[in-house]
Amino acid sequence: MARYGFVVDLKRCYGCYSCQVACKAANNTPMGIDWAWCRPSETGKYPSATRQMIPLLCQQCANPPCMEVCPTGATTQDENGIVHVDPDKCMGCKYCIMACPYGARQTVSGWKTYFPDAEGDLDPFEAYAKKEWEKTWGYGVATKCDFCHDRRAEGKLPACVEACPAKARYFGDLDDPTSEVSVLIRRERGFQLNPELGTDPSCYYLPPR
Amino acid sequence: MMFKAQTKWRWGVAAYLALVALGAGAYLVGVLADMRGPEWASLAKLGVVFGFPCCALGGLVKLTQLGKPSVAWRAWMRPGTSWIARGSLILVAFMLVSFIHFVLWVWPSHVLTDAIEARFVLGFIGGLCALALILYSGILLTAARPIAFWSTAVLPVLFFLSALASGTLGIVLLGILTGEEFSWPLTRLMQGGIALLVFQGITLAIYLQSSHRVPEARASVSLVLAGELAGLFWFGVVGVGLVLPIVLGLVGTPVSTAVAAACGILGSFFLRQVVLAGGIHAPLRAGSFEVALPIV
Repeated sequence: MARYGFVVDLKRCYGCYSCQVACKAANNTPMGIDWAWCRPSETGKYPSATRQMIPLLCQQCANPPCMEVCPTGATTQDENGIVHVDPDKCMGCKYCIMACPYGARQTVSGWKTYFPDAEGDLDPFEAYAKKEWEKTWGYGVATKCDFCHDRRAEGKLPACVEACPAKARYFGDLDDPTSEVSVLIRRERGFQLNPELGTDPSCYYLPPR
Repeated sequence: MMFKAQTKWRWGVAAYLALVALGAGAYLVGVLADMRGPEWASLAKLGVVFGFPCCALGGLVKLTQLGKPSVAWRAWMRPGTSWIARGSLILVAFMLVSFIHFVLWVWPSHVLTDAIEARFVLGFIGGLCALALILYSGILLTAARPIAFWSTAVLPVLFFLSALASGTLGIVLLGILTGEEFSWPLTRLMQGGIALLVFQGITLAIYLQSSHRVPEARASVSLVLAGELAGLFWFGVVGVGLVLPIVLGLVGTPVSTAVAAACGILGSFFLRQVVLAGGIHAPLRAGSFEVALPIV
């Protein structure tokens, strides 16, 4: 079976947040909930300080600590290494949020509108997003990125990969040595976030210049 | 780098952990006291009185903290890997044994008053469950590895001592409130409680000192000692939870002892709240860059 993984090229990412917005649009996540997001980071001191955007998402660890601590069996890992949450089984204890080193899990206690000052009903787009969210996830449970499971089932790429204008994100099979992601990791010395934790993430980052 | 403490486990979880520690600690101390001789039996009974209601109340508080309490029955589906699942099983087992112990010894039946061997056997089983429950409440946090402030071997020891201290003080408080004669066993128990508080204070100092090696744990310690949590720590944990009970306990009058015991129990709750609220996730490291997690 394939082990799906991501490669994020830090040289190419310039922090336009397209991935974050595309993820929101594809998954109808409520306000304040991001399954894919970018964080600015700085290193060094003036005059040689460097600023770098770090795109983040669920790292789909091969040894997911969130699954280990989940008491209900709501968190599972499929044959492709993707970690899923079953909202019908999750009781919302938030232990997985404590155990996840990557901040990939979030809970939603209720829908928050983007336009709190607006009078009347939600606008049609937000009403649609709310309806879809309640249909798929509901409230009180842990939620996270699943590399756009539904889109992949339709043969599409994850939304953030498709939307990235800088082509900084790659998606593919880590077990196939000839796949684009494997070649990039090998050729450009891709690295994982916080490898010392032993989670073996499926997301690799290519070093910035 | 700006570190931010986790916000998901706060007062409710602290109350749950403190109640479980109080119930299990008092029961364990009660059972151990019972095994020392017949003159300790009346105090041992008070320990048994604490076990079930405290843990039941703690369980209810925990339920209110769940995002979806209707699925709480699934909490023990993964005891092989999850400490919450293990803890839920231990909690249920302890509640069951302590309830039987209470019903057969304290109220309504007194069958176990003369059946000393049966009482000891039941107490031994319940004591093991209580011990496991106390250890679970510390290991639960230790298992969250990205939070260095929690992921240390000293924390379960600290929570263990705190549970024993709050349990001991709980028995003392209930003893005084129910008009228990200010007998030598009660005085002895109070002295034991004070000793446990001293050990707890030393362990707390070791815990904080040993947390300075990792940057995020150092940030946690700063938050606790001089940051947002400093008031709660110095006033609640050190003042109310340690200094006041030790000083008032040494005074030795019934009123001062009762106040000391109440303060010690409250301090156990503050301690857990400070530890929980001080939890900071490790930053994400991408090569030479570091990113703090968004508010978790």
